[in-house]
Amino acid sequence: MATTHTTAVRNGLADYVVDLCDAGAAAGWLRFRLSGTAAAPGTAAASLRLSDPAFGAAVGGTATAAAITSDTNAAGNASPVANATIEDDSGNIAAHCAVAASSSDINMSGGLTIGAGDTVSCSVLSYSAPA
Amino acid sequence: MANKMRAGDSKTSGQAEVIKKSDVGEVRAEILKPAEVEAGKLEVPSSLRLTREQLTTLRAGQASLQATITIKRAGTGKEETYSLVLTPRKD
Repeated sequence: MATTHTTAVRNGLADYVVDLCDAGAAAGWLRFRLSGTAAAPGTAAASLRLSDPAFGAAVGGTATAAAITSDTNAAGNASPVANATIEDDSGNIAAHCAVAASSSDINMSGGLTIGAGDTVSCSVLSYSAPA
Repeated sequence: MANKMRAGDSKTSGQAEVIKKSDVGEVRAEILKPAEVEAGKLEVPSSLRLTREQLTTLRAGQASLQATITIKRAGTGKEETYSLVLTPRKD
């Protein structure tokens, strides 16, 4: 049987994770990366600034990101992105997730290969704590 | 990751978009200077952003392309939208 949590606990968990993004001197980052893991993240192809604070208070176990500033001059990479991280200004990763064209954690339109100078935007981002 | 989600997993959800640098273009517009512009009563953009489809149309040398331009009146901030016809020209 799976372990479950109350909504209050889920809100606390979600707030803890997303508040890590605010720990640095400046606002945190949403970075789109080549394939990797949370412990060994892939190369960043685009870096989008989160707001400060990055997320609103969790409701129903889900925290939703405030406005995210587009990267209008992405670093780019010849290989496609496969993951994304949310992290603080110093690069400490709070969460690592999958990116694909569809049916993924973050769905990316316009292609997964980001070229140098491309613009990358993120209109919606949320984090949900374990049920 | 999403496909392997189980009860009890955390979940990140989002929607992102990549706009290729080559898909965004600007057309320099010659601005005729009516008296209102010269008097500083109108703010007129000096360039237009075009979609990929519009650029493709222009590059294909088609006869013309309809576009709109929005100008903003200084002072009141009122915006006015006009239709333009862009005609490709090879210098």
